[in-house]
Amino acid sequence: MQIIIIGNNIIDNTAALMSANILAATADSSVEIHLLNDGLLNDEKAQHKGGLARSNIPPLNLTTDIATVAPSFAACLRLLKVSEAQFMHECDAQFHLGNHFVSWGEERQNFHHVFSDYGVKFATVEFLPAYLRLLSEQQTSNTLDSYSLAAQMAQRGVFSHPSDDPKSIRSSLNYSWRFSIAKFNALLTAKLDQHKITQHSHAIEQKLRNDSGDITQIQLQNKQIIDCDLVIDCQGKEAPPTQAAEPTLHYVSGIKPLNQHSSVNLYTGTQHGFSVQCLNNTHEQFTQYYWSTSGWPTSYWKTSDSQTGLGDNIKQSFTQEHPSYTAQSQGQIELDLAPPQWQNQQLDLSPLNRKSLSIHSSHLDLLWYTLSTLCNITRHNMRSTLAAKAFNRELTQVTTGFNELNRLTLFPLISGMKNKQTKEDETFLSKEGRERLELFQHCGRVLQEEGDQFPPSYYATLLYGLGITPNTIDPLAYQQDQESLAKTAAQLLRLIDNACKNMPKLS
Amino acid sequence: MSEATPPISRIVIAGGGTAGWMCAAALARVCDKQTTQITLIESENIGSIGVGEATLPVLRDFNRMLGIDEQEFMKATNATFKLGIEFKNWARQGQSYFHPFSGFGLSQNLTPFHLQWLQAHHYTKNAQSKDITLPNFDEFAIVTHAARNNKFAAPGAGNQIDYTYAYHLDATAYAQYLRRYSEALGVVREEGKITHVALDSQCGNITALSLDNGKQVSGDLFIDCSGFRALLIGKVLDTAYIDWRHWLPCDRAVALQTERPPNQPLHSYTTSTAHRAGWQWHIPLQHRTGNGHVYCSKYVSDDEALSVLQSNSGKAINEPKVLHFGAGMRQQCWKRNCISIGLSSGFLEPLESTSIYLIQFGIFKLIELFPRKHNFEIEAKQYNRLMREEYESIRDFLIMHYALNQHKDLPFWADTANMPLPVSLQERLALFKSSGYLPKKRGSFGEASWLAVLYGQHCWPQFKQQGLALLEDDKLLADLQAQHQHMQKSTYTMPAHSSIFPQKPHS
Ligand SMILES: Cc1cc2nc3c(=O)[nH]c(=O)nc-3n(C[C@H](O)[C@H](O)[C@H](O)COP(=O)(O)OP(=O)(O)OC[C@H]3O[C@@H](n4cnc5c(N)ncnc54)[C@H](O)[C@@H]3O)c2cc1C
Repeated sequence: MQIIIIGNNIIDNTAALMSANILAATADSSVEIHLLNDGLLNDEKAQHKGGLARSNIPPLNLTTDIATVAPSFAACLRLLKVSEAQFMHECDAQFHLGNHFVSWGEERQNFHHVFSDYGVKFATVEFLPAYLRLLSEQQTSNTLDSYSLAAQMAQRGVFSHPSDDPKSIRSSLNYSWRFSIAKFNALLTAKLDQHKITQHSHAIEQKLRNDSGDITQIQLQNKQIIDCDLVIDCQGKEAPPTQAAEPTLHYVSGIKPLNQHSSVNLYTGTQHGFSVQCLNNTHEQFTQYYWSTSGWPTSYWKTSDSQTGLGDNIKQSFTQEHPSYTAQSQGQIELDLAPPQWQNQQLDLSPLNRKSLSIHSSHLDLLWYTLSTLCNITRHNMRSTLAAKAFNRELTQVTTGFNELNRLTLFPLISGMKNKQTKEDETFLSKEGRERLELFQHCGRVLQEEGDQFPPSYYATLLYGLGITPNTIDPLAYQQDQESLAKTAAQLLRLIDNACKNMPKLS
Repeated sequence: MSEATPPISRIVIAGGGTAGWMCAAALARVCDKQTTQITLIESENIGSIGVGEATLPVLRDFNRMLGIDEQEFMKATNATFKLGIEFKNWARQGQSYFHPFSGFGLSQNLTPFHLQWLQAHHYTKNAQSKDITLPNFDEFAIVTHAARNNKFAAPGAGNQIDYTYAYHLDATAYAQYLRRYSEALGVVREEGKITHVALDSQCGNITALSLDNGKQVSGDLFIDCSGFRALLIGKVLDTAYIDWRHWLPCDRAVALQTERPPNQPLHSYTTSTAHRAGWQWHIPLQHRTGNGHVYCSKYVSDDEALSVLQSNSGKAINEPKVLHFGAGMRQQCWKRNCISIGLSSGFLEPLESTSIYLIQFGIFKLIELFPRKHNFEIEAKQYNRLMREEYESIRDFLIMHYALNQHKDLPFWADTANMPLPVSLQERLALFKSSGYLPKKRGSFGEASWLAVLYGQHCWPQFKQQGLALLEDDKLLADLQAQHQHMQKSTYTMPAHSSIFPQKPHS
């Protein structure tokens, strides 16, 4: 079995590096993996299509440096046999407990949105309905954040790992990391040899296909021919985001057609987009999202010192520095995968249709999900057309799920908050998203759906945080009497306080 | 938050079979006794269906939620343990396979076990030496060995492969047990036949049920557990029935109870034996055995079906009972203020013991979506969607058993093997054959269950050696043989199932 991974500028192509290492970690020894650099060819193609060639794209160092991932990324590290200690040390990683939304939406909500549970389940009731009941009965005046161990840890600058003891409040914790992409790339590069991945420096001369259009061989400029059973294209889009203003964004890649079953396209999106994040010597455990006055959602990771720029300022300084990025380009590009049917949906970056800001997942989460799915699906037969179809379907489902969550988070912006219903509102959320919102508004509940990467409580606390208050409280919140519910809530506060007191300071 | 919509304070359950009493018990457990009155109406003259003795492992979650002690429950219901189902003559005459309540083997390096087995099977088939053999796929589950040796032990630590178990139980006794439980929690039982259903003239909601003894029972929420009669959801609210008989053509069953055979091992599994135009169940309880022949009346007469049953069962202790049914489900399981649970909501033949599970699923979803008075639409929409997804997923799983049969010479089986399949199943089978991949699916049957039937009925992926996973043949075979041996050995110390439930005179 031979797999060819094509990327350009390999040393900072996270998609290519992760693909090579993850496939190597799961494949048996008979599988050969080749890493090719096809940069030049793509510059030509990109120019031909009217896009900017890679060499003309301004360097966006700011955007490429930090990755924030969801807790599920831990499985990726396990597979790569990278311990947390090694990862934290080598990739300048920091703990990440969730997002902090600051002055978010027209209602100017401030809330922590955490990966963790809220400590206790009140009989069959989730925490949120129980809290809403206590609030409505004036049994508490505390914010939801007060009941979150993660939010309290962040406020006090302390950290401890989750506990295995189900009785401990720390067993409810969940976390991930924020880290330097460049250093992660270096770690992945160092693993290439260990995984016996063959690297080729010569550019691609031609791709040979069989009758059904599958790429069967790739010839390099030095005339070397490599057979292949599977091609993974990690070249990304060679067009800069400005091209997104065009009605259809063309995929300007060296391998076409992209939906051929022998070819999988992975793109991390790290080169493009507008997500300003700075890694400093700080111990902030939440990624902060600020809502700027123009209503331009900008992800901005607050540093501990004098970083004052809110969205607009950053936007201005950014566009001054990089004039080729026009206003249209300032959404963040999501992971872009092969199926052409996604392209319009995923890559529409016009300012009014900010459909794919990555708030709840980073490109690396999607990349990891993509690769683990690919590994599962191709274990038995890499050349199955039906497997390719299944792969596309599963990724569509998950990407849509992530997107939906991001859109729910941005919903207050688009809807002009709850009163105004514009045409745009109707299309901003999908039918599933609208139904989820409708159910939450109606009775404060969220159901677990296929494709959800987070538990229902994650959605519920987000929607509540966004200022959406359910019309009625879950009747099941009333199955416990008020006094004992209030007692349990008070006890939770004490448990959180004690747990935080026993945790070491981060600084 | 508006609390204008009052909570449900009166729940009326129409019917006291397994569905009715499971509903009553669960709702009594979660609703506040002070504010919610639960009434159940049943008619001794009508009685309940009296079959439904094999369950799925999730019933343990239900009992756990009620806080029921396992030993007490098993004693009250004459229950035995169930480790899975033995399918006899399904694929071909004279062949059997076991569907265990567990996974199979150990995955290696992310390669699912079934693909390892497939490779090893291919290797042994082509090996020169006859000494190189590989046990059947289903023998790579501890549970299969335990079951085939009529043993049982609860899963504990130390087993490499986790497994679970369900029960065979006396359904009538279970309903009685739950009745005692519910009444202790304040559920009121009304004896009488429902003769009239009153509707609100404006919104069409059900307002009250009149009984033949002159009583009237009013309510806010009505649960139709009236069995196949579907008194409320069908007769009164006129909800259409989606007919699936073209996929699951069996439409009758004859049931017969027999003595527990003396001095014989007590099976820790259900047996399903294929006959000329249907199949027979064998369900061992502590005090007797449940038998039944499910058949398609187009291909076999009632008399013949009974005679097949009698000649394959032990000494009868009751009169045989013929039951008529049609596979399908209600278009809406929840309409206005009425929710149908149990046989009133639909029926899928008991091949994989799913009816009680569907009752439980319906109850759990009702609790998750428990409404307030008046406005049920949003909850009903979600409930109906979830029930439909669940029914369809079980439907596909059941159809597969028929679609994969190889009895070409018997008209019933030949017809079911050639029938057009639902698209969802068609695609799943094609994908599996081409790639060995089974996409995750929500619902009661996970990947392992699908694999049990697929491998058991010889529907295997094409062996192509074109995947990421290809292990060294010799090593792989040795490893699988060691796994098999370990599994076999793990059952040596398990007690005989009959020693847990010694013979007692039938009552
Ligand atoms: C052949 C066969 C085999 C089965 N095997 C299994 C199995 O192995 N495992 C499994 O999980 N399930 C099995 N089932 C399904 C299982 O029997 C049912 O799901 C379960 O018994 C629930 O039935 P029910 O309570 O909905 O209906 P029923 O048991 O029919 O109860 C209906 C209730 O409604 C009452 N009622 C009806 N009309 C009126 C009226 N007018 N007034 C007052 N009361 C009324 C009756 O008195 C009764 O109490 C099987 C079903 C069949 C047909």
